[in-house]
Amino acid sequence: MTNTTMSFSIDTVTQETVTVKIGKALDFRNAADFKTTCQEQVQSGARNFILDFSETGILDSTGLGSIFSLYRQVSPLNGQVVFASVSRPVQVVVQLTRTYKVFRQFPSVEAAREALP
Amino acid sequence: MEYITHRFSDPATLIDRVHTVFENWEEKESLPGCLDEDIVHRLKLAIHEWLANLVQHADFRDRRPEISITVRALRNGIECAIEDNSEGFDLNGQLTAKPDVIDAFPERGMGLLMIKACTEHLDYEELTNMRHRLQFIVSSDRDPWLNIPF
Repeated sequence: MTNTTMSFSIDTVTQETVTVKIGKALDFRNAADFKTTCQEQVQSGARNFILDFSETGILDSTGLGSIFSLYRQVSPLNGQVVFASVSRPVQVVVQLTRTYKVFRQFPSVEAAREALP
Repeated sequence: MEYITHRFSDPATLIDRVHTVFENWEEKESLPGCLDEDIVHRLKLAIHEWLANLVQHADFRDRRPEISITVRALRNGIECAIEDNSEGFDLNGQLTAKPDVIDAFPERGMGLLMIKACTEHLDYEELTNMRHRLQFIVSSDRDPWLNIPF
């Protein structure tokens, strides 16, 4: 049995753009850690967040709520939150909640990096 | 297909253990291959959300927690029952109190609505032996969605 709530790894793309590797889960167990991690990045100047869901098997309502929180933080700063390499379980949540209307999706992190400033 | 039941007793490891069970279902092809992949993911999401509710809010008093998950494949979906020995919740009251249209970009309060959106024949009842049971069906008959204003 594996622990699916490891911390999040950050890859700085530019001064304003970072990639957050979500890992196996973003749910009620680690959503607070995600918010703290992203808040630290915003305080350091990040405005655009690429969320890498390539390995993610669990995105629950609390995890999605923490992404909404990030969106509310960066939107007034003209920032963006985009999804990359969206796994099928995450895509099911995206479809269920229609959040594809808000969060642009890219087939890969590289494609997202090219599209963001 | 026969009923498949799994039992759990430690809320601290419940979520990881259940997702390990999900992986075993896929590896051993316990669920019929004819089921759409998205149905299985919606089943997992509904189970996860309910268990998250149990882990965060259930009151087991001084009893050793007992949680069981039973699934059975239907012709075009999956039937699921989750039983536990907690004090239970006023689920029907909460679902009635929650409007279908919720606040824009909500941080909390989507879990029960997600379960409601993913499932059909959702029912929650108190059993006679100090247990509670959530039952539902996830089927291919509908394209569910949760109305979140953006």
